Amino acid sequence: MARWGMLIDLRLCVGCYACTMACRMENGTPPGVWFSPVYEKEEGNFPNVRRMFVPTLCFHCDDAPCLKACPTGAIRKREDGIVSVDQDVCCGTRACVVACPYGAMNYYHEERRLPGPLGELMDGRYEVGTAQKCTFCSHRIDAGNLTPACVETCPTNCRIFGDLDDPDSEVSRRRREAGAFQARPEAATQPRVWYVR
Amino acid sequence: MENGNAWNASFRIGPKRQNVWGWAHASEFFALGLGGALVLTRLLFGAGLGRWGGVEGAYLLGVLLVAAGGLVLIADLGKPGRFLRAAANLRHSWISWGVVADGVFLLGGLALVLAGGPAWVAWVTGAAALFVVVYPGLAMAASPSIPFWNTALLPLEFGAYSFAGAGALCAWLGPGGGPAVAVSAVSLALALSFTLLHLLGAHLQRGTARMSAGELVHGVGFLPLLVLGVALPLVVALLASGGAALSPGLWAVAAILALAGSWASKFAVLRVGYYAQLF
Repeated sequence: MARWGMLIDLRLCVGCYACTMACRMENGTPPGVWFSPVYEKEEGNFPNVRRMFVPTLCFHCDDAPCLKACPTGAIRKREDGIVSVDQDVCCGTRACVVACPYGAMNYYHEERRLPGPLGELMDGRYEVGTAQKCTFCSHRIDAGNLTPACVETCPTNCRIFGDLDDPDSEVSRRRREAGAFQARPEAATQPRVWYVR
Repeated sequence: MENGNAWNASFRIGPKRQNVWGWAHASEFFALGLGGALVLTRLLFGAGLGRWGGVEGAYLLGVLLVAAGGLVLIADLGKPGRFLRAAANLRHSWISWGVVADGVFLLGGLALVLAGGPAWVAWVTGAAALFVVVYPGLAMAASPSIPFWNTALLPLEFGAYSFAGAGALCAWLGPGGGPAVAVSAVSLALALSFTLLHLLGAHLQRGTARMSAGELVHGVGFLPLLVLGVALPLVVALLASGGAALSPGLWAVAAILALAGSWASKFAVLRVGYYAQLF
């Protein structure tokens, strides 16, 4: 079985936020809940300064601290490596939010719920008072479309998605050839998202 | 405009403070710690609060505090009706073990309050109480995301503050005597030592652990808290240990300061929980 992962080439990202918005449109996330934010970072000293964009998402760690912290067992790792939250089981301790070293966990707080019909529309999809996060668009993968929305929409192809266990997949090949690295390796979570810079 | 800036800042890489655990968790951790420590102080050292209407005051207050702490936590859950599910992940989660320990403690504590209970009930309740005291610190220390919390000192620190409050309360309201004063003095000294070691350890690290320690020392008045909530009650406890006859009023002030210090220390540690930077 494929075990999914992603490589993000920071050299290619132009900070258009198309991935962030594509994710939002695909998943219809509530206000304040971002599954795939892009962060800005300034590097260097004047006059040699450059701005870097860092797309992020859930890193679907093999040793996921959110899964360990969750007291209800609502967070599970699928066989294909995707870490998912069962919002019908989550009781809203937010232990996963404080446990995630990558800031990938969102808590859908009551204050964020939209009033009126829009709020009611989202109620059908996201439960107030539960944790939410990126799923690598598992609903698309399960339906046979092996490309998450953020990857599909990226105009520079800085995000590459594929089977990390397949040495011939593009994501594995690029990871080897480009000298990819993992964010916060000291956290020892074995994330399945790799970066190139 | 301010909202816009805050929104922009949330998309900038930089140190970010956790904002999902706050005063409710501090209050819960305080109540659990104090409740568990009161029962343990009575069981292990014989220092209590005397008899209240025929029942052991330390057991009764301990059970009430742990029940109150649990209720605060349940009320703070996103889905309070699902609180029992929080005991489901015993394989990984300290919180799950904490929920089980809370339940065992409440049942055993009630048995002790109502019937005195056989010795094994006291021992089981005592073991549960010890876990109730330390598990908030264990749950926080297990997190690799917030370096200031990610230390084995945290459960010891929380435990020491809890025993400091319990000892001071017993010395103030109890029938008096040496054990409560000794528990108070030793725990306050340990709380001060663990806190200083924690701050020093964080200061020697790079990154957000150092930032958290710096914010504690400079930002939220933690040093006055250490003086008023730990050092002052410690002086009172040491004077009492040395045989000085202290007025009940002085013990009252010392106990209230120690209890306030115990709550505030937990709140302060929660408040300065900065996530490690992604890059």
